[in-house]
Amino acid sequence: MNGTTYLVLAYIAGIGLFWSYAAAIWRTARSLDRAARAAARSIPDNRGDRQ
Amino acid sequence: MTAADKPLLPGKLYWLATAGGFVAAVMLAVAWAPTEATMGPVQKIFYLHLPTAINTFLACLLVFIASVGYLWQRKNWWDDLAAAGANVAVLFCSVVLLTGMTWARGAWGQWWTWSPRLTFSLVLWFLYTVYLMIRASIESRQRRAVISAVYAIVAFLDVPLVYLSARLMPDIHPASVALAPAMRVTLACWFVPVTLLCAGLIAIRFQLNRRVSSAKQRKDVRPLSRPAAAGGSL
Repeated sequence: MNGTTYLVLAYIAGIGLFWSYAAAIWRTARSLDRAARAAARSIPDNRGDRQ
Repeated sequence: MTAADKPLLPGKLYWLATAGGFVAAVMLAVAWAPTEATMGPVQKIFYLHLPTAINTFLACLLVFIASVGYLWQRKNWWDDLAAAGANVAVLFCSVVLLTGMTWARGAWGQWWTWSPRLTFSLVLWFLYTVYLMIRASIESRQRRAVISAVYAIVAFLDVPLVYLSARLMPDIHPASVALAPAMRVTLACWFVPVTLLCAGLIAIRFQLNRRVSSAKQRKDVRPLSRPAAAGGSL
C-alpha cells in the first residue's frame, strides 16, 4: 500500500468512527424519548385504576 | 414540557456546520496543503491526528474537573458530566491510536512500536475504558460516583505523561514539528470541526446521561410511592 492509501484509510476510520458514535447517541436519545412518551401515556391509566 | 421532551442541544445547524467543517478541512488537506517532502501524502494524517489528540486531553481534563467538582459538591450533574467526558475521551483516544498507527505504518513501516508516547497513549485509552467499565459495574449511584471520581483523578495523571514523554525521553514520535505556513493554516482549519465535534458530543452525551439519571430516579421512587398513594395498605 502507498501513502495515499494509508491517508484515505486513516481519514475514513477516524471521521467514520466520530460520526457513527454521534449517530449512536442520536438513536439512543430517540429511543429514550419514545420510552418517556410511552411512560407518560401510561400514567393517566394508573391514576384511573386507583380511582 | 418535561426534560425528556426537550430536543438535544446543540441542534441540527451545529451538526451541519461541523460536518461542513470536516468536508472543507479534508478538501484543504488533500487539495491545497503542500505534500511533505520526506513522508509524502501519509503526513496529511497529522491534520486529523493532532487536533484529535489535543481534544482527547481536553476531554480528560473535563473528566478531572467534573470529578473534583463531584467530590467537592456531591451534585449528581458533575458525575453525569464526568461520564460524558470519559465516553468522548475514549472515542477520541481510539481515533488518535487508529490514525497514529496508520501513520506509523506509512512512515515507519510498522503499525506499532513500544515508544514512550505510544505506550502512555495506549495506557490512557485503557485507563478511561476501565473508568467506563467501573461505572457500568457499580449499581449504587452514590457509590459509583465517588469511586469513579477518585479513579478519574488518579487516571488524569497519565495525561501529562503522554504530553511530556516525547519531550523528556528518547522517542521515535516527534515532540514538535516545523510546518510551512499553508500547513499551519490547514491544521488550524482542522481544529475547528474536531473541537466542535468534541464539544457537541460531550454536550449531547451529558444531556442523555441526565435523562437516564432522572428516568432511573423516577423508576426507583415510583414503587415506594405507590402503596402510600393507594392508601398505605402494605
